[in-house]
Formats: sequence, structure tokens, C-alpha cells
Amino acid sequence: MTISPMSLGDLFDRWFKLIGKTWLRNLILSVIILGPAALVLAICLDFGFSQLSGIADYGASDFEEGNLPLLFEFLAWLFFGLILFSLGTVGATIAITSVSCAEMSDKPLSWQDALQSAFSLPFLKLLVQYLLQGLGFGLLVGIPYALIIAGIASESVGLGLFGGFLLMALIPGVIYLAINFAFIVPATVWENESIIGGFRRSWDLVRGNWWRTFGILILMSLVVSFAISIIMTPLYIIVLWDFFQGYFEMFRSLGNGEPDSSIARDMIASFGFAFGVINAIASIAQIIVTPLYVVVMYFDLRARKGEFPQPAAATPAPIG
Amino acid sequence: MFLNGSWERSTRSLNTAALLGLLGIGILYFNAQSVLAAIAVFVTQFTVESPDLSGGYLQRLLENIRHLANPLRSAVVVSQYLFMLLPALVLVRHWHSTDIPRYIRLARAPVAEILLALLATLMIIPSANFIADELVRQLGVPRMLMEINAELFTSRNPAEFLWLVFVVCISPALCEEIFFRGFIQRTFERTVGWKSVVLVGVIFGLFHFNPLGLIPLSILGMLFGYFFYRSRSLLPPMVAHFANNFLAVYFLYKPEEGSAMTFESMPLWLVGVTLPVGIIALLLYERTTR
Repeated sequence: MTISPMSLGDLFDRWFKLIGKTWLRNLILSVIILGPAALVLAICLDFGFSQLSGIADYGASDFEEGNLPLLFEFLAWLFFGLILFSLGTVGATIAITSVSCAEMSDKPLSWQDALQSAFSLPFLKLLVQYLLQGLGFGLLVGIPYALIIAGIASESVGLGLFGGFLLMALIPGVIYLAINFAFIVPATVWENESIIGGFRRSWDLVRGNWWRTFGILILMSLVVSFAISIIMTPLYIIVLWDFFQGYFEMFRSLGNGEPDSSIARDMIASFGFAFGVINAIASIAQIIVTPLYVVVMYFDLRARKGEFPQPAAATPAPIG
Repeated sequence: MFLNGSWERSTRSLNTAALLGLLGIGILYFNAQSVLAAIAVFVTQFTVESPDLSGGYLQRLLENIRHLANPLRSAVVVSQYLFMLLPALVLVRHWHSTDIPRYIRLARAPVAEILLALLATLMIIPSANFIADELVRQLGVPRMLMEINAELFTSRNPAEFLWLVFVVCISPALCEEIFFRGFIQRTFERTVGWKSVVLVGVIFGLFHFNPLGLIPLSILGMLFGYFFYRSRSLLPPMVAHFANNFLAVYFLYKPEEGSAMTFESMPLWLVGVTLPVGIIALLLYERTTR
């Protein structure tokens, strides 16, 4: 396998070609893995938003008797759906990363084989890695936030300002760490690194190339988000048709000076399942391209570290 | 050598060039336009006296849009030239060829082709508008919102009309055609042939970020792409694009204050009459460009 360090144009070219070669397998994998989780999330959202719309049936005076349990039920459904969906996302990311890494190494992997890898040991390792990352980033951002809130609560300007400055100072730190740990998924999935080994490996790969990695990852994520927003804009209208109908109806009723609360209730009730479906489509569209640029960058960084044999330089022609 | 750009000398895919150009310029254009629009609105709010707002909130919104229409139009026109046309030309020159006019096919076309393209477009516009009107009707979009949306394209005196012709008709016909047809479709065409017409037509529809206008805009995009593909010249799609936008500006011209702006749906009989003529014009175009 020969992979040379890539220029920006080469990286995009490799990424788009990789999408072209793997999109069908990645789509099958994401639909199989993420589809059921997305469906459950959509059903949870449907139940949840139906409960939420019921709040409009209660008057403001009976909030504690009627609304609070409904609100908790909504949050419980939402939490359950989100947990399941997050687990599905981790599984799909592993499977798609496996397919992409195999393709980059000229050893194509079928979707069936990739599916088997989705919920094996790397799944648990990645789950722990994500939890550790979430905890770390949560603490980094959470502590200054807690100081700001404490400052406001105790009416201490100094404490609040200190929290604010700390937050501003820590944001670059969070970005710095996020870029350094951007390659833990391919490191763990493809090189079978341990939980901590995955963090270390990603850090080593980025070392010396931080700004370049940062710039390219930002650029590629911008391209993905723009492409997805183009595709999703008409889909939003199609899937959320009932919701938008209600929205315009409410607009008219407000314009007439006779607001009708039942329209808002119907809008909320129709939102849950449709939003779940649109979220599933957006997530599937995102997941079949996003891990791929991480993989391409991962191989580029490995090539920059001299990990792949390079083709022998052409022998110069004898002079004379 | 005609194809002497950096992309042509590499082993990279031409589809990547087209996609990267499309998405890169798209990101630049929409973000720059938003920033310019925000600046224009900000400056206007502080330099021009705001209108006396009265009436319901929709009426106040309409008055506000009228007040801000010209700054917003300026932002659109500046961003079209600076962040769509210019980057497209730079990328064509850098990636594909220093002979830009030849690459983007900025060439003459027979008058018959241009006239047929014009006729086909004018005859297909009612069908495209009928679809858009039907979607608006099904969704129940309030008439007032449609009027607010149309305000940016409405002129009330000859000077404003001419300014709108430049902003809404000439500039998109030039900038969007060079970008979508001359650069993107031309590059896709080299790998996927006629399918580039459909592909870039749909992309053209999607790029307007107008979900209810997606189908009619895609139809028009495919039509302009078809003219470009068949005639090997940018002129027919430019003229057709100009004519489509000019019709909208012309019908929204209100020289007398208070003259009613009508938002009636496109009558089905008009579609029934014009669509067959449009199809015949397309068939004639096919024969003429054979």
C-alpha cells in the first residue's frame, strides 16, 4: 500500500472518490444500524410531543397537578430515544470507518463484514472514549459556567467575571484538544488501539501538523454542513408539511387578531414523529460522509509521519 | 494547449473539481451575502430615517421590508459579482484553462437558437409557476407573506424598475449562468455527458434555498442547462434566464401607488395552451442544434 502525503486538492479528491466508492455500503450500514434507533427516537418524540401538546389542555393554575408529570414523561421519552440513537451513531461510525479504512488500504470490506465489526470490542472502547471526552470537555466548560452562575447567585461581580474570563480562556483549549483527539476513531477501529492508546495515537498523529489539521477539518466540516443543508431544506418542508401548514394557519389567525391555541396544540402534536424522521435522514446523510474525511486525513497524517513505504524515486538519467 | 490548468495536469477527478467549486463558492457566496446584507441593514437603520410604522405587525413587516429593500438588493448584486462570478472565473483559470471564454463557452450562437430558447422558456414558465402556485396553495401560505416576499422584486418608478432589471435580471443571467453552466455543468459534462443537464438543473433549484420553488427552479435550471449543452454557447441560457427574471420584475412593476398587486394562481388553461408550444419549441431547438 502506497499513500503519499496529500495536498489540499488531493485530500478533497481522495475524500470525494472514497464517498463515490463506499456510499452504497455506508448507506446500507447506516440504515441497518441507525434506522431502528432513529425509528425508536421518532416514536419517542411522537409520544413526547403528544404529551407536551396536552399541556395546552390544562389551565395555568393547575400546572403542578397536570403539566409537570406530562413534562417529565416527555423528557423521559426524549432521553430514552436519544440514548438509543447515540448508541446507534457510535455503531454506524465504527462500521463506516472500517469500510473507509479498508478501502484506503486497497482491501475492500463488504458491508456484512463491517456490520459484524460495529458492535464488537471497538464499540465498547469507543463508547468509553466518547464518555471520557464528554466528561473532560464538560468539566472544562462546566467549571467556568458554574463559577458564573455562582457569581450571579451570590451577587459577586468578581466571581462572575473570573468565570467569564476562564470560559473565554478555556475555549481555545477545548478546540486544541478536540483537534488532537479527532482521530481516535480510526486509531481504535483500524489499529485496534486501547482506550488510552487511541487518545495517544491521535495526539501523536496531529503533533507537528495541528494548524493544518485544524484548517482542513474546519473546511471539510463546512463543506459537509453546507451540502447537507442544501439537500435538507426541501426535505424539511416535505416531512414537516403538517407542521408548516399549522404554522401558516397560526400566522393567519394572528394576522386576523384572533389567535387560536388549538392550532399551536396540533402543531406541537404533529412535530414529534416528523422531526424524528427528518433527524434520521439528516444523521444518515451526515454519517455516510463525515467519518470518511476523518479517515482520509488520518491516512494523510500517517503518510506524513512516514508510516507507508514511498515509491522509489526515479533514477536520474546519466549525463554525458 | 487549451486545458492547461493545475487540475488538468493532475490525476484528480473532474467531478471533484466541479463539486468542490460548487460547494466552495456556495459557502463563500451565501456567507458573504449574509454579512453584506447585515451590514447594509445596519448602516441603513442608522443613516436613513425609519418609516412611520403603523397598523398590524404584518403591515409593519411589509413597511420595514420596503424600507430595507434597496440595501438588501445592493448586498445581493455585490455578492453575485464578487463572491460568485469572480471566484468562478478565478477557479476556471487556475484549475482548467487560461482561455476562460473558450472553457465557459462564451461564444456566439445563431439567432434562431436564441429565439427558440426564448420561446421555449416563455412557454414553459406558466407550467413551472403553476406547480409553485399549487404548492403555495396546498401549504396555505398567507397572501400577505407572499406580498412581503415579492416586495424585493417590486418597483414603483422607472428608475427603480431599471435598477431592478440590473439586480434581478442582468446580474443573475450573467453571474449564475457563468457559474452554474459555464463552470459547473461544463466540468461535469466532461465526465457524465448529458446527465450534467439534469444534475446541475437540480443543483440550481436546490441552491436557491426555496423549498416551494425547488421543482419550478429545477425545471428552469434543466432548461437552461439543455440550451447550454445543445448549443455549446452560454448565450441562449443567458437570454432565457434574463427573460424568466424579467417577466417577474415586469409583472411586479407598480408605477401607480396603490395599484393592486395580484397573487392569483396561474390558470390551468394557460398551462394547457403554453406547454405544448414550449415542447414544440424544444423539439425545434433539438433539430436546430443537431
